[in-house]
Amino acid sequence: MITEYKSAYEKIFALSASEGAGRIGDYHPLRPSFILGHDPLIAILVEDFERSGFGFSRGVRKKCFFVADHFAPPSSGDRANILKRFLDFSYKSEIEDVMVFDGICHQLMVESPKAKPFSFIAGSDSHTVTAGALCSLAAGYGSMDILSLLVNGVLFERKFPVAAIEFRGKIPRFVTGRDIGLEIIRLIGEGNANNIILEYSDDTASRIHMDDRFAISNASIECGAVSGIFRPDDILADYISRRDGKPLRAVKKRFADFESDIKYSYDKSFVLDVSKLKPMAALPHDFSDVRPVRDIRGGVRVDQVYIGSCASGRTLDFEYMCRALDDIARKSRLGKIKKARKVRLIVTPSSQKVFVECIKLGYIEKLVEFGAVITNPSCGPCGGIDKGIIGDREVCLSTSTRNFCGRMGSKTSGIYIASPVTAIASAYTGEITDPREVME
Amino acid sequence: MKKVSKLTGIIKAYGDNVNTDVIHNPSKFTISREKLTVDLGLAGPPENRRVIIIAGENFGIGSSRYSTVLALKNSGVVAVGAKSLSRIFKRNLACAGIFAFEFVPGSGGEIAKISGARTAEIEFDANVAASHCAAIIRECGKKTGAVCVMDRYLFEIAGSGGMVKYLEESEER
Repeated sequence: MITEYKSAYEKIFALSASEGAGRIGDYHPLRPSFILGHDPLIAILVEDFERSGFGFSRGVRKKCFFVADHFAPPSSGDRANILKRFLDFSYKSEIEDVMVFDGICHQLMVESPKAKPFSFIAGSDSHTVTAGALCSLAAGYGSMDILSLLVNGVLFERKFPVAAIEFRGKIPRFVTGRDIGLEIIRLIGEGNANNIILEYSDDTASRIHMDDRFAISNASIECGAVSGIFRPDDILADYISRRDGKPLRAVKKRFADFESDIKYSYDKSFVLDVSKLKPMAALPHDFSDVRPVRDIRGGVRVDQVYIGSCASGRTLDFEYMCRALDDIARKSRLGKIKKARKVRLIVTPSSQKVFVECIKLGYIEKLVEFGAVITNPSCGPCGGIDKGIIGDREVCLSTSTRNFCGRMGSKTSGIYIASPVTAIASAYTGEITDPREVME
Repeated sequence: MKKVSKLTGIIKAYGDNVNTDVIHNPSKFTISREKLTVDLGLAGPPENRRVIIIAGENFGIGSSRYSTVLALKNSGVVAVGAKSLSRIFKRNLACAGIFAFEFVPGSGGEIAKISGARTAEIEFDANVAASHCAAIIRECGKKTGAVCVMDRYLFEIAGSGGMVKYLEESEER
């Protein structure tokens, strides 16, 4: 008998495949355990849903987790009406979870006990891949695919090849999950993992923190990957145990079943020695030029520093930022340090839960004293929405998801993507700065 | 599904890695569908023209915003032929009723180099394989063209006129 070895992804795929609906070509019907929807991209499907007289498939409403985070709160009449359309539909449809202004949907998703490991998670936003850190097949879809999912209860999807990325070594100081994510994009290339699943395994010395894993999985989409799945391990088990208030032993019960088989043959595999990593940055206007921050020459002055979005803005990111402030203060031998005068510093916690945690830990006060403006948890300037739009020829150093041309405002502006540590160092000097220059 | 076997249109050429924000800036997002348009730099009103986009690698990388493909549709786009299409974007195109083809490796050649307002035609063969539909995209008047494919599931959706009509037809069946 031939033994069929499977990756974690293939095991999740097999578990999620629905037997009720037939295959169409190479597309299999998958039944998600969690359906993430957010204000603009649910609002745009409402007209079609209602005009065609569609109904919800049985059991789907309970799986829906709808979040108002883009227009949160709305900054114009048009956006207020989009939010209204979303909320009216959600309440009328008796969606079980409707979250309004509680945070960014991807952070609220991973905070929710409804988002379970080893399941298929479908979301209306491309950064749904963030939940890959929960060892789930988390993937983004457009509004009409989500509409079909609401109607049919299944989503037709292909089975994709899997590439393995193994993290080894010891993560150096000043290097965060955002830097690791950027290094993966540099290694693979922008869009070069299109129609591929990335499967991450963590064999680093001190193991990667869950908040950093979320940042890494989040960056998978910039490689074009369908999903960026972390293999199940003790770090995940501990997170789920504390999140869901369940005993660790109970949580770990199913973990062995979803471990990738040792003899599974991946389509490609990479080893990433994180001990060699440096603080990284992506230069405007895409991810084709990712390089160590130290290699950015010419003293790039920044008009704005933005720390937030679903790529960062988690509690660990605040810890990184405050540790960076302490290091700068120590090195400069100044008791209190202030950001560079002309730099606008905007910091956005990724959820209300994170916000409150950071208040209790003293992080918010420290950042405000440094000169930061703290905004409410929301998508804000990341998608050019509000609370930090940049003007003509301005430069923004951002920890957010993308640096596409005109994404945060003017088409003549430029966005550099880097970690929260690099962001703090740059806010301090007023130029894009390798944190080691002001902290070591 | 409507029996579509041939399409013609004015060519609009794009390069590699053209992302969704460049195609349609997120600040222009609205659910007022008629307001969603893209300036393709082509002559004539969008309602009176058919456009075939010819693009390079990873066309449509980035966001899942359905508004991007609606903007293309409102601007006359009926089909896309690209070296590769970003996964979510490819699905969105089909959901909007736009045919989304990818060149068979090594086949993009001449057509992928085209720029300027020339016209192209696409001939479909829906029965070539169970998993996909095949097509040839060629510049009008030329004999040779690029062989390209589209996943059958997505082809059926686009052929119905988009996801809504596809679902309505499925319910009728």
